[in-house]
Amino acid sequence: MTVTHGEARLSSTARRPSRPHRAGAVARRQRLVAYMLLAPAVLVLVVLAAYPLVFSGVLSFKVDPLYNPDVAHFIGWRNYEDLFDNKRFWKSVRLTLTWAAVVVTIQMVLGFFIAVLLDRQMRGAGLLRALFIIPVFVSPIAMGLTWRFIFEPVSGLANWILNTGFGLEKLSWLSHKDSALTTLMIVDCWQWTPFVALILLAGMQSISPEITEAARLDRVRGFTYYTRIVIPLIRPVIMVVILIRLVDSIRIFDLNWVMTEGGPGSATLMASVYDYTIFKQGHLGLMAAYGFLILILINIIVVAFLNSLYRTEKAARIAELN
Amino acid sequence: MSKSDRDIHAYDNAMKRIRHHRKFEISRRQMLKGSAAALGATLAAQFVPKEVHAEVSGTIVHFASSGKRLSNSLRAVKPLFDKVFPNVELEVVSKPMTEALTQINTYMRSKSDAFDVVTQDHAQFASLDAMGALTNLDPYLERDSAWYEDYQGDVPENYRHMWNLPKGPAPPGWVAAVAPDGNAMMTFYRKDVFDKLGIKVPTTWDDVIEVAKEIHDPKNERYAYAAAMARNFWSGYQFYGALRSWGGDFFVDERNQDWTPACSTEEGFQSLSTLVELQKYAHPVTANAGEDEVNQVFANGTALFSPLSWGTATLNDPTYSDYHEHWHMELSPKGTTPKSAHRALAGGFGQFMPTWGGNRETAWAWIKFLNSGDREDLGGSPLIADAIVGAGGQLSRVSTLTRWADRKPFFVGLMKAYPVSVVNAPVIPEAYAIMGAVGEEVADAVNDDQSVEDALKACDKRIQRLMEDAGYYS
Repeated sequence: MTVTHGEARLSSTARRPSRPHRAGAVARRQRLVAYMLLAPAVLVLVVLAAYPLVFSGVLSFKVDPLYNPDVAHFIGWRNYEDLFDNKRFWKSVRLTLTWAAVVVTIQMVLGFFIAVLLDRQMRGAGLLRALFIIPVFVSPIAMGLTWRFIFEPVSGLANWILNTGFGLEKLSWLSHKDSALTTLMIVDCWQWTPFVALILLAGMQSISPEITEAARLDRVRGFTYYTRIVIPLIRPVIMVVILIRLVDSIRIFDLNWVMTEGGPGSATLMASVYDYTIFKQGHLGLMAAYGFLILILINIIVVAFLNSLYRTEKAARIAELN
Repeated sequence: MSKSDRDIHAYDNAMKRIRHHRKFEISRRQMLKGSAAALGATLAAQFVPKEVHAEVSGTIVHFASSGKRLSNSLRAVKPLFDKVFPNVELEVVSKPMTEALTQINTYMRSKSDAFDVVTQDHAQFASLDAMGALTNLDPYLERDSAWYEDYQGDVPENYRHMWNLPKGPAPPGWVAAVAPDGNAMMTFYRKDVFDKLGIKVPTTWDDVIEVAKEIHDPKNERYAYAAAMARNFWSGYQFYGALRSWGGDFFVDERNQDWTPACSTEEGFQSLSTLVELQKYAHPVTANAGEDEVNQVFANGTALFSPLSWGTATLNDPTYSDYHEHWHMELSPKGTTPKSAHRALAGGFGQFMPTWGGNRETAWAWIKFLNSGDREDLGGSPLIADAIVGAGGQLSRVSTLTRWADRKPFFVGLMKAYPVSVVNAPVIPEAYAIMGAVGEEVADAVNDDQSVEDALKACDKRIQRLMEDAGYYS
C-alpha cells in the first residue's frame, strides 16, 4: 500500500502525543541539558570537595600512622573520644574561641572608628586609604617572620623602642606563655583592622545622601547619628564582615605557625596549629577527626550568623512595611 | 710614625674598606644562596679529576633540608661533581628542616618518584623502612669494595651502623643509607667567659645548675643557658638527651623488646626536674626555641652555655659569629647515679636512594662522590670535604674532622662525642611520634603548665597508646 506524503503526515499527527505529554518530553530534555551543563561543576566538586571530605571522614575512624601504614586499622569513635579526653584539645578550642572573640571585637571596634575617620572629606583621604590597605596584602609568612624579629626578646625592635625610647622594661612578647597570645593578637589586628575598616567605609559611603541630609536637618549628630542612623543601615555589612573575620580567625594558622608554632608550651596552641602538629606527629586518623570537629564548629557559627542576619533583615522589612 | 699612629692609620683604612663594602652590600639570604656555589666554583677551579666519567649521564634530583649544613653543602660540591660527571644534570631541592622531615615521610608514604637521592634524619629511618622506601645498598658497596673499605675505616662504626637494617642485636645487616653527616648532642660553652670566671665545664647535672647560677647575668643581657625547648620534637630531644645521661630510656629494655614505657622513673624525674630548674637561668628565647634560635643567641653573644645542644659547625665561622673562636664543645653532662654516663645522642643525616626513584647508577655515583674521602685513587679529593666544611657541613669522616680541628672546635667536640654516642631515638617507626608526644609534655612542664610528675605520667600514657596501636603488646 502506498501512502501519500499527506497521509503519512496526517497519521503522524494522529500519533502525536497530547500536549501535556509533549511538554513533559521538553521538560525532560531541558533537565537533561541542565544536568549535562552542571556535570563538570559537580564533577569538580565531587573530586575536590566531596571525595576528600568522605576520605577524611573514613580516616577519622582509623589509626593510620603516616610513618607506618602497615598498622592502620579501624577503631570506631576512639579518635573522637581521645580528643574529648585530651586537655590540649580543650585548651586549643578555648584558645581559638578566645582568640576569635577578642581579635574580631578589637578589629570591628577599631575598624569602625577608622572608617568613621576616613569617611570624612579631607585632603589625602584617597592616599590614606591606599596606604591603609597594605597590611592586608602582605604575605602572612613574610609578615609573621618580620614581626617575630621585631618581637625578639633581647635585641628586637619592639623592646629597643620600649627600652631606649621610653625607658621601660623589656617585655618577653612571644617568649612567655602569658604574653605570647596577646602579642599574636596585636599582629593579627595590625593586619586585619584595615580590611574591616575599608569594608565598613564602603558600607557607610553607600548610605543615601538624602538620609544623611535629613539627619543633619534633624540635628542628629555625633554618637546618636552613628548609633541610630549609620549602624542600623550598615548592619548587613557589619554582619558579613564579622562572619568573614570570625571564620578566618577560627581557622588561623599561618601567623600562629610562623610566629610561635603553638608555644611557648601550649600557650598559643590554636585549633589549626594543633591539628597540623597532630599531622606532623603522623596521626592521620586523629588529625582527620580534629579537622571534622573544626569543620562542625565553623559551620555552627556560620549557620548561627546567617540566621541572625536573616532575622535582622526580616525585622527591618517588617518595620519598613509598617 | 709612632706605633699608635700606625694603629690609628690602619684603623682608618679598615673603616674605609668596611664603608666601601657596605655600599655594595647584599642581603644575607643572597649571600648564603650564592656563597655555597661560589665556594664550590672556587674549589672546582683547583680540582683536577683523575678520571672523567662521561659515560654516566641523566638527571638526578636530591632532596635535603635547607641550610648551610645540608643543602648548601650539596650545592658546594656540585661544581666539583660536574667536572667529573659532565653529562649528569643534578638538581638539589630543599625545604626548611622542620617541614622537610614530615614532607619526606609524606612523599615516601605516597611512593613518590620525585627524588633519586634523599638526605634524611636518623629518627625517621625506621619509618622509612616500614614504608618500604629504602634501597639495599649492599650490591653497590660490594662492587665498590675499595671505596667502601676506605669509608668503613674513616667513619665510626656506631655512625655507620645507624643506617643498617635489620636493626637489633646483630648488626650490621644490610646497608640502607650512607652517613656523610655526623652530629652529636654536646655541651656548648663560651670558653672566654668560663676562663675569665675560672669555671670548669660541668660534667654532672648538679654542676650544670651551679654553673648556670654563677654565669647568669640578665641585666647585661648575658644569659646562662639556652636550649631548643620549643614544643614537639625539640623539647623531646632535650629530655631524651638528659634521660640517657641518667641511664634512663623511653622503654624498660628496647634491646630485648620490653616496650613498657619508662619515663615516669627516677631517671625521668631527675632529667625533667633539671630541665625545669634550668629554665630559671634561660635566655628568653629558650621557652619557644628550635635549634636555629639557639644558634642565633649563641652567635650574638647573649647566651653563654648549653648542656645539651645540637649546635652547628657554623658557630666557629667568623662570618657567622663574633665569638667564633670562643665557642667550644665538650661531652654533655651525666647524672650522679650508678647507671649514669656521658652519653651523647648521635645526630646525623643519611643519604638513601628511595625505592621509587630512578637513575640508580647516576644516583649512586653522586652519593659515592659526596661521601668520598681524600684518596684520589678512589675518586676522592680533600677538596670535596673542604667544599662541604666550607659551606657549613659537618662530616662523619674522622680524617676530615681531624684536618679541620684547629679551625673548628666543634669538630674537636664531635670527635670526643662519637665514641660515646647512642642513637637519638628508639629505632622503631613510632620514634618521631614518640619524640613529638614527649616533647609536648616536656614543654608544658618547663613552662609551668603542669608538674614534672604529671608530665612524666602523660609521657608514659601517650607512648603506651602509640605502641598499643602499632601492635607491640599483642
